[in-house]
Order: sequence, then structure tokens, then C-alpha cells
Amino acid sequence: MNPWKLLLRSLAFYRKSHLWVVLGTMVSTAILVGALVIGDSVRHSLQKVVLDRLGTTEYALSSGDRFFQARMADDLSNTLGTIVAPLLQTKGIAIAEGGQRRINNIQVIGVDARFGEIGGDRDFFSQILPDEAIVNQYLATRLEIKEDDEIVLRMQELDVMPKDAPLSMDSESTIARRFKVKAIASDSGFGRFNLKADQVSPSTVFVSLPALSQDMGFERRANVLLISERPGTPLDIQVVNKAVKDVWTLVDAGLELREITGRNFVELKSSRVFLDPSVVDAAVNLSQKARPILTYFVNEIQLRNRSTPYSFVSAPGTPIIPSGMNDDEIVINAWLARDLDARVGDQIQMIYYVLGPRRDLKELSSEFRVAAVVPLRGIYADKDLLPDFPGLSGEENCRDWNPGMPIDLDKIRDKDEDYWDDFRGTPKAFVTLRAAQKMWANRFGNLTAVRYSGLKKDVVESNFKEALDPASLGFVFREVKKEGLRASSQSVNFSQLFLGLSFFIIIAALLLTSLLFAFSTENRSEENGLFLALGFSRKAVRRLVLREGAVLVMIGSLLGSFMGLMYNLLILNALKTVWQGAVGTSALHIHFELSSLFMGAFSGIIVALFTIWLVTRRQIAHSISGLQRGLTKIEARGKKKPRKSLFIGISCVMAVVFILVLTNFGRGEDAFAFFFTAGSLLLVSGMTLTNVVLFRLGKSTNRMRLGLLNIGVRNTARKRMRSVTLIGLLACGLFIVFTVGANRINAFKDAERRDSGTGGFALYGESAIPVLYDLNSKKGIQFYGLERGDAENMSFVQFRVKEGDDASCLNLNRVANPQLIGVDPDELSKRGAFTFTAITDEVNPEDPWSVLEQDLSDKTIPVIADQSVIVWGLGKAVGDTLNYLDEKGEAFQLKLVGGLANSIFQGNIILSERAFIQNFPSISGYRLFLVDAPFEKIEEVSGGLSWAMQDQGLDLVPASTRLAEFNAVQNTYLSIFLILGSFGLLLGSVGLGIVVWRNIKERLGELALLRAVGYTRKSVRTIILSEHLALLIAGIFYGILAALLATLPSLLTPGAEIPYLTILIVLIIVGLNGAIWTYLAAFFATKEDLIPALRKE
Amino acid sequence: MLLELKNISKTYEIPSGEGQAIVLRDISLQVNQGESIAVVGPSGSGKSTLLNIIGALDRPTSGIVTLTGKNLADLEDSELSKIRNQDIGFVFQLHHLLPQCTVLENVLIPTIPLGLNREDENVRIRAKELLEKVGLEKHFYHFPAQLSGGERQRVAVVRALINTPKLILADEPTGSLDRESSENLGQLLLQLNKEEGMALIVVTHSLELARLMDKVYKLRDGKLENS
Repeated sequence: MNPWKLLLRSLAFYRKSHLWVVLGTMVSTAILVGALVIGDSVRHSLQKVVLDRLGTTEYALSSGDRFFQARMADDLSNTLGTIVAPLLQTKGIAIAEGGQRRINNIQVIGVDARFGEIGGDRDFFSQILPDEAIVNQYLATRLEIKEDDEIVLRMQELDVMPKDAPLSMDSESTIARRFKVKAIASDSGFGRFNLKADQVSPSTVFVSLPALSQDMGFERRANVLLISERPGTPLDIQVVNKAVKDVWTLVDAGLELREITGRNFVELKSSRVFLDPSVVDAAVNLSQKARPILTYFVNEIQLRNRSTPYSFVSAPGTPIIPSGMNDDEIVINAWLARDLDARVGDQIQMIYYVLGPRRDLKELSSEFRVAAVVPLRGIYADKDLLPDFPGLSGEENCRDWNPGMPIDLDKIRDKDEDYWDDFRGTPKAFVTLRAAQKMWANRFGNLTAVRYSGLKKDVVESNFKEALDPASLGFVFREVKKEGLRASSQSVNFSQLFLGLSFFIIIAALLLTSLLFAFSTENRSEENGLFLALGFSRKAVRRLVLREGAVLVMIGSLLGSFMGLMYNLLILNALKTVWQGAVGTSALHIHFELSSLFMGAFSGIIVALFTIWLVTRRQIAHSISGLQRGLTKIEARGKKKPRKSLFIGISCVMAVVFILVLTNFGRGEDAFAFFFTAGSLLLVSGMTLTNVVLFRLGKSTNRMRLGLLNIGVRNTARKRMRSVTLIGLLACGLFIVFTVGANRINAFKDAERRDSGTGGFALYGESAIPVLYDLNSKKGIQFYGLERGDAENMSFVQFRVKEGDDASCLNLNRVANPQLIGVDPDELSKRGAFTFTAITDEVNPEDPWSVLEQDLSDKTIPVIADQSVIVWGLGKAVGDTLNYLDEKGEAFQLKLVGGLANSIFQGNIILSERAFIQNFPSISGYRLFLVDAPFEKIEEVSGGLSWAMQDQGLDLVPASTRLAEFNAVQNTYLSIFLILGSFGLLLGSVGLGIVVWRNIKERLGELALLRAVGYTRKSVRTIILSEHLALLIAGIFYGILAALLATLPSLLTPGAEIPYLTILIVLIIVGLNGAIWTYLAAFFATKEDLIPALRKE
Repeated sequence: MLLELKNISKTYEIPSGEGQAIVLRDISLQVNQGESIAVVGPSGSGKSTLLNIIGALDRPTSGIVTLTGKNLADLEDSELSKIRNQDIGFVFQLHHLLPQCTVLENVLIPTIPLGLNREDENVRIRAKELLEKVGLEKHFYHFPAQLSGGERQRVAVVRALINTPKLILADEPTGSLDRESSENLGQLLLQLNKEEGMALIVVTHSLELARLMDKVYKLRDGKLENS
């Protein structure tokens, strides 16, 4: 005989009771493993999404509104030895069924076979005809279209000239085309292609690259490059960006270098009219012979009562401008002098437009003294000084002019037409560069050309290419795959989340395991007593019991691991369907790491073993003779009055009353926190006062009428601590599950208030096509046809958008490049909109929004974000900084100075419009809107506005609905907690049955005596049931009462989302389940003949 | 001298807080090797308490217990376990056999703390010999549930003898047996006492069993008297 043989014998003999311990461990391990595997599954699924959305793409370059030649892809491919795919990407609106179905904000991508090759199926994306489109699965489902259906795409027209630049065109910002759906691209068939780190599929239409580039007027051009992983030797990002530097040309950057024949100079111009600051730096510093030039369009040049309309004025430098000419002097040509009857020394006035934000045109004027009148010939008749102003320079007649600013064609006289015919855009006047830049410099640049005298074009070109870093124009590759995988690996930790959400089941299962094991050990206490009596040391006996427990726990954990995988499948299915609100995707697949399985099983074993160890330790500590008697002696009643309990109980009740009065019975501010405290205190008072009542009950039996129910209820006083613990466990379970479950966030509450999460705005809108004008202005209202709507009742706050990763709770990835939105902070400040939960010292609490306009001492840019974005989306805190790249590829730092309380800004980082423009000057227009409108007319306003701005693809939702979408994530988690917690409670109520069984087994002799003196079996059961049902009812009563108090403010809120039905069902099930288990325990424990137990007594 | 009890007293706190209950008062006793002793007395007189104190299952409130020259009060719990295992053999009123083990295995249970394993054939041979001696040669591989009350008690006796203890303590060994089985068990205990040479202390109600012993003591009002 040896301990192992004894172990095997015991395992086999007590297999029935062991089964329950195994089951208990199995459940707790399954939950642990399940939670860890859910983490693995979500992480793996997100990684799969990264691979789905990027194919074999390793690096990507997105140059926005700069259109390089598609040949750059070939050059890079040759240099790097891997596939490089050029894409042309724009935004658009997809319309199906003759306008009945319409999806805004889709991505339209021009692709060719190389894109397919990166996606793993070259043929699928090759040979798309000009009128064919491949629609991705997500959009096809939303549009309810299939192969061979027809769709209309309204696409944002791409333009090299930023829409906010002076003299850029504001009309025709979209083009519409009809396409036949060639195929539907599945998620695994590269239909998910997206450069943003997001698990939610974008809506995408793929069209032919050549056809799209032709439609956009950029033949054989592209604005996105994808570099595939290089087979064999991996590519380094520095090598890739170096290759870009080698292969790019001026044409790719929209620059043109041309030799002006006969004049012996080379001129650098940009198709964007204004030369970018980085281009200017490189160009001007290239040679001392560089001559910077700025030419502008002026509305009028006046002298006394004479005026010349619409002329070009230039700052061409020497020799046209005499050296030493002052900034308030002007050189005019003879034609203008004649027209104005101007002479040297005359003071002429120049009137011109400048373009502010929101294309806000301001007509300004400047005065100049005529310094010289020059002939209209030679160097003074230089047509080439005129940049390529859209709508002006290419027109045949002045009357065909259509620049991006209002002109009165009636003012154009015949002689103006003649001038145009003869001299085209030859400037009529010349000022110093400093004067010109003072008037017309803007965020897009302060020069329109740079000239180099006496230099050869190829020399200038090669030197210029050397001097300019293409990254400063946005030609820089990002490590998209690495970033994506990093974002997914640092995603929301679902393991932790589900461990938290399953907390109650784990506790209940462990409780059950310990109860079952304790019960089993107690039943075998005589055996342990015998071992001790036979000379086994306590340690040896404990080891025997633990060893047996360990085997059970290991079996349970092993089975639990497999069950955990099943549980994981169940949860994943729920997350893909009923709980999709928490993850926003159905692209979840089961995946597990062996380490998680091992960790879950190991934790299950350790936790269960620890529980068993606690039980064993307590039991083996009994006296040997006690153990040998089977621990059946009647426990002594505590004689000490529970004064401490009485004191705590009464204090808690008084505190509850105080809180109720203080918060005006749930109507006061901060009622939620106060009431949760009050509920908790009520729970504590319930427990402590029950202890007091049970003590009294135990002492005052002789004053009570004897009856079956009374005997039962009185029995609860015998093991006071066990009774109070049981009530406490049940009550705490119900309290936590219900208070957490019922405290859902209600987005619609106080939605009209400025300090709410909606900021008091009625509508939230996003447009696919940027809105260029101020929608509050007359011009904006006219331009977008808002006068037909309810314009006088609406006002807008407009945001510029630098697209980035969605940092809201709807994105599971840990994002690195969140979306930035720029706003005039005064608009929010004057409305006192939104509430701040955290601010840094820089912020004035009275006017927190004004901080956005501050220049911080550490040169960082102050930004504000939703607190949940800061904490969960970015993994930061208020006061932290974020690194970001500006348009020129230069890094700058954003400082999180304020966190907003649960708001519609989730997913975005807010900065001032000024800072936005400074760092992203090319991004024109506004794509995010908050609309103030009468709440009672919300639908009417929304309908009218959406209709008026359908070409911009404006998606409007009530701000409260948007907030509710974010809240849905949290509310879904609360639902999960409620459901899982309820399962935990059910499991806990099984524990009640075990306690009943245990109580009965302990008192078999006593019950036998009752039988012996003539009580029927039914009477005995009535006593048992009344005792334990009293505990069950007390537990439920306290739990519900405390939960009701804690959630009273929520209950009093109109429209609060209290899941009454779920709570009621859970309550009924918990109550019934507890009653059934109690009954079953009482039934089976008393089914046997009780009389033999008397003998033992 | 094998065992000496000097001025042993045992008191218990009354749960209701009404003072102390004195179970044993100033008991002294000496037992020599091979001697057999019976302690008789009415229910609740403290017989089992006395036996538990002798058997190192319980500690006296005052007084000294010396077994094989060792003062039990000076010993650690683990040393007491060793004494219970090697120097004392217990026979209880209820046999306390492990239902999951066979007769032979039950007998061998006390050998586990000695670290003897199944390869140690001598122990198995001794177990079998002892079982044969008590007439259980056909039941080596039977489970307790397959035995009669008398047979179970005989297994319990053999289990008490397996480690060749110096002292056998039997607490109402015939308490749950019929008359015939009781007589047989009494004879068996005495026979083993003579043959194996160990001292025997029997606590019993049965005067028939008591009379078989060398000495009979009566426990009355917590005091031990010569009968």
C-alpha cells in the first residue's frame, strides 16, 4: 500500500462526489480559458483584418492632392525589385436603384492588375473596362447590389490646386459616372483594402486606373503607391524612401522647369500656382541668380475717377523693378498709364481680393505711388509672368473668364479684350516682392515662380532635385503593415475585458468548487480523523487530501480547457451577432495560443487548488476526535451580543437617509455617485442588521409560537455566519449585476443641454466632398442652396478634417494616427458646449476651449479629445503628447490639454483651425459639421439639409444618435456583464442547494429525531425549506432593495434605458433556480431513512 | 515501564459560559509491557477521553503522560504522529475502515507514514499472516462492505497490530458487535496481547470483556479506581 494506490482507490470510490468538484473546476477553468482565448481570437482576427486589408502591402505612400506619374511605380519597382502598384484614390457617393439607395463617404480607387497582384489575385482587378466597377462586399451589401447591376458614382473631382487657394475654382467639385458592377470583391479577396487601421470594412468601389485618371484630368497619374513585400530580402523603409528620392521628377511634384526661349533664363512654376514653402526654400537657395516672382490678379486699379478692371500685377524683381524702389511705389506700363491717365508721382489705388478661411473673400486695397511708366515691350511685356490661374490664363476672351472669385464681366471693356488679345496676361503693373507678399502671400505660398538667369535647365533641375526632399511634398512611405500589426497587437485587451465581465461566473464556479470539495471532505472527515489517529501527521493527511483535490482539479481544468474553447466559440458568435455593438465587426475567428490555453488551465488549477487548500487547511485543523466523530456536534451559539453589527447597521441606515436628503431624493447633481454609495451602504446595513436579528431570533425562541415554519426560520440563527454569508453573497451578486447592468448611458438624456455629450447640437454631419464656404454666411447659404431649407433657424460649426485612424471605441485597434479636426474654438467657447472631465494647468476652467488658441511654452500644439479616446483609443492621459507628421512629413507634437466627458467627438482629436491650417495647408474645406437647429424640427431640418447638400454627400444624424452609437459599445459591455453575471448568479444559486445539503447532512441526527418523535417526512422538509428559502428571499430582497436605491437616479430619468425585462427574468430565474435547488437538496437528503443517523448521535 | 499517567486532569469549557466541566480528576496509572487493562465506567464518565489522552489524540489539561519514557507533552505534533503510528495501535468502537480499500489494503494503511511501499513484501506477508491468524484468510481482497461487523472489527484489530506497536488501545471494541462476535473479539485481543507481547488497554462497558484483562479499573466522577 502506498499513497498513490490510496489515491487511486479514493478517486474511484468517491467518483460521484468528485464529479461535482471536477465540474466546478471545469466551469471556472472554461471561463478563464475562454476569456484568454477570446483575447487571442480578437487579436488574431484583427491581425487577419490587417492582412486582408493590405494584402502583401508593406509600405504605402499617399500624396493626397499631388498627382505623380504612374511611371514612378515602374521605376520604384525596378529599383526595389518588388511589385509597386499605383492607385488613384478619391472620395465619392455611391447611388443605386435610381437614387433610392445612396451611400456617402465611400472610397473610389483606380486600380490595375498590380493592385490585384498585391491582393493575391492579379486577374480579378485586371482589365476593368472604363464603365465597369468592382464593388467591395461591404458596400454591395449596404447598397443591396449584385454583379451586373448599375451604380452611379459621384466622385470628388481631384484638383492639383487646393480649393482654399486664392483663385482656385469652387464649381464642379464632383463628377458623376455610371458603372456596371463587374464583380463583388470579398473581404478575403482584397475587398477590405484600407490604409487606415480599422477592423470595420470601408465602402469601396474599384475602377480602372487609366479611365479614372482620364476622367479626373490626370492621365496616367496616381496619388497612392503600394509597395509589396519583397520576396527573399525584406525592404527597409529608409531604402524605400531613398528610392523615392532617386526616381521622383519635378513633374511628379506638379512642378515645371522651362527654358524661356530668347531670354536666357529658366523658370520654375507649379501647377498649384503658388509654390510650396519647401519648394521655395529649395529653389531660392539653389543659386544667387534665383529671382523669386509673385504675380496676382487684382480687381481694379484706380486713379482719381478712372479705373482699370481686372489686371495682373507682378513682383518680378530686377531689372523690371528699379533697384532701390520703395515698397509703396509701383511701376506701371504705358497702357495702364494711358488708361488711368497716370503720371510718375501719382498715387494709385489697387483693389484686390484675398481669400480667408471658408473662402471668405475680402476686398482689400493698397495705395502706391507711380515710380515709373515703362513701355509695353521688351522685358516689360512678359506674358510668361502670368501663372496658370485656373479659369483665367487659358481662356480665349476675357468674357470667358471664370476664376474662383466673383468678377463682374460687365466691367470688362473692349480695350480690355484687346489687351488680352494682344498681350494676354502680361502684368500691367509691377511692385516690389515685399509689397506683393505683404498683400498676397497665403498659406499655399508666397511666390508664383522662380527664375534663374544664365543657367541651363538640366543643371537647375538636377540641383533642385538634390536640394528638395520629396518627403516635404508628402512623397514619403509609411510602414503600413508594421503599423497595422502593431495597432492590432495593442488592441483592446479582450482577455482582460472578458475576465472582468466573467468575474461573477468565475467567483460562483470557485465558490461552488470549494463548497463541493468542503462537503466532500466533511463527509470524509472520519477518514481523515482515522489517518491522524493511525499516526499520519497533519501535513501528511493534508497532502493526501490535496493530492486527491489536485487530480480532480487537473481533470477539471483539462476538460475546462476544451470547454473554454467551446465557450469562446459561443462568445465569438454572440460578439458577431447580438453583441456586435461592442466590436463593430463580424470578422472574428477563433484562434488560440497554446500559452493562453496553458495559462487558463494553469490559473484554473491554481485558483481551484488554493480554494481546496483553504478548505482542507480549515478542516484538518479540527481535533482528531472531532474529525473521527464526523464533525457532527452541534455548533455552539455565539453568546456575545453583535454590538459591532448593530452599530454599523444603524450608522449605515443613517448615512443612507442623510444621502437621500442631501441629493434631494435623486434630483440633485452627482446623484448617480451618491446613490451608488447609498445602495452599497444599505447592503452593508442589511447584512449587519440581519446578524443582529438572527442573534435575537436565537435568543428569544421561548416567546415564539412553535410551528414548522418557525422552527425552520429559527434554524437560520444557529449558524449565523453561514446564514449571513449566504444572504450576503446572493445580495451582493444581485446588487453588482443589476447596478452595473442598469446603469446604461442614455445619450438622449439632456441632449439639448450644452454641457451634455452632444454639446447641445441637434445634428452631426460628415460630408464626402469638402464644403468650401461658411454655411452660416450668405454666400454659403446661396452656394449650397440652403435658403430653401430652414436656414434662418440653423447655425453651423465647421471642422476641417485630416483623415486618420478612428480612435473611438468603435475601433478595437490601438491607433497611432488619429483623425485630427480643426475648428475655430470660439464657436464652441461662445456656446459653452461640452463638459471637460480633465484639464491641464494651461486650461482656463472658465473658458476651456480658448486653450486651443494658446501658444504653449513647450511649442506643442494644444489639443482636446474625448476622455475615452485619450485613455482607451490612444492609451494616454491628459497632459501627454502625441507625435504627428505634418503635410511636409515633419514631426510635430500635440499636447492633450483637455479630456471631454463622453461626447460625440469620440474618434477625433480637436485642434484650432489656425494650427490645423499651419500644419496641413493643402487640406481644403470642411468635412465635419455640428448643426444647431430647433430640436422639434430635427427631422425636417436634417431632410432639407441632406437634400440640399447631396452632391457633397452630407451624412447627417441627430447628435444624440451619434452619441448613442458610441454608448452602444459601453451599453453592450454592460449587457454582457448582466448576462454573464446572471449566469454566475444561477451558478451561485446551485451553491445554495449545496449549502442546504450540507446543513442537512450536519443535522441528520436532529432531523432523524424529529422523524422518530413522529414528524412526517413532509414536515421535516417544510422545516428545511422554510429555513433556506428565508435565506434566499432575504438575499434577493436586500440585493434588489440596495440595487434599486443605487440606480434610483437612472430609474427617475425619463427615457432611461433600464433593461427591466431582463432584470425581471433574471430575478425570476435566480429565485426559482434557488428554490428548486433548495427543494431538491431537501428532498434527496431526507429521502433516505433518517433513523440510523440517530445511532450515530 | 511502558506507560505512566501522573495526576492527569481534563476539563472542558461549558459552551454557554457557565464555567468548566471536569471530566478527569487527578488520574495516575502505570502500565507495563505485555499487561492488559480494562477501564470500565458509565457513559460520559470520561473513558474515551482518558483513552484519547493516552493515545496522544488529545492533551490533558494538567498532568504528565509518559510513554516509553517520553513525556508526550514535550513532543511536537509530528512526533506525536510518529508515536501514534509506531508505538500505539488503535481499535475503535466503529471499525473506521476505508470503504475504498480492500481488507489487505486497510491493514496496510498505517504502513504508509513509514514510507514502506508495496515492494516491501515482508509487510504484506505479516499483514496476511495476521489476517490468517484472525480467520480472515479468505477476505484479503474483499472490501469492507462485503464483511460482517465482527469481521470488520477483526480487520481493525489487525490494522492496529501491523506496525507491531507496544500498546494497543481499544475503545469499546465490542460496542457495535453481537454477543458471539464480542466474545470472539475479546478472546482474540487477549490472545494477540499474549502472543505479540504488547500492552492492551480496553475501554468498555462490557464486564465480560473487562474480566478477561489482567487488571480492571473503574472510572467514576472522573476518578480512576481499582475494581
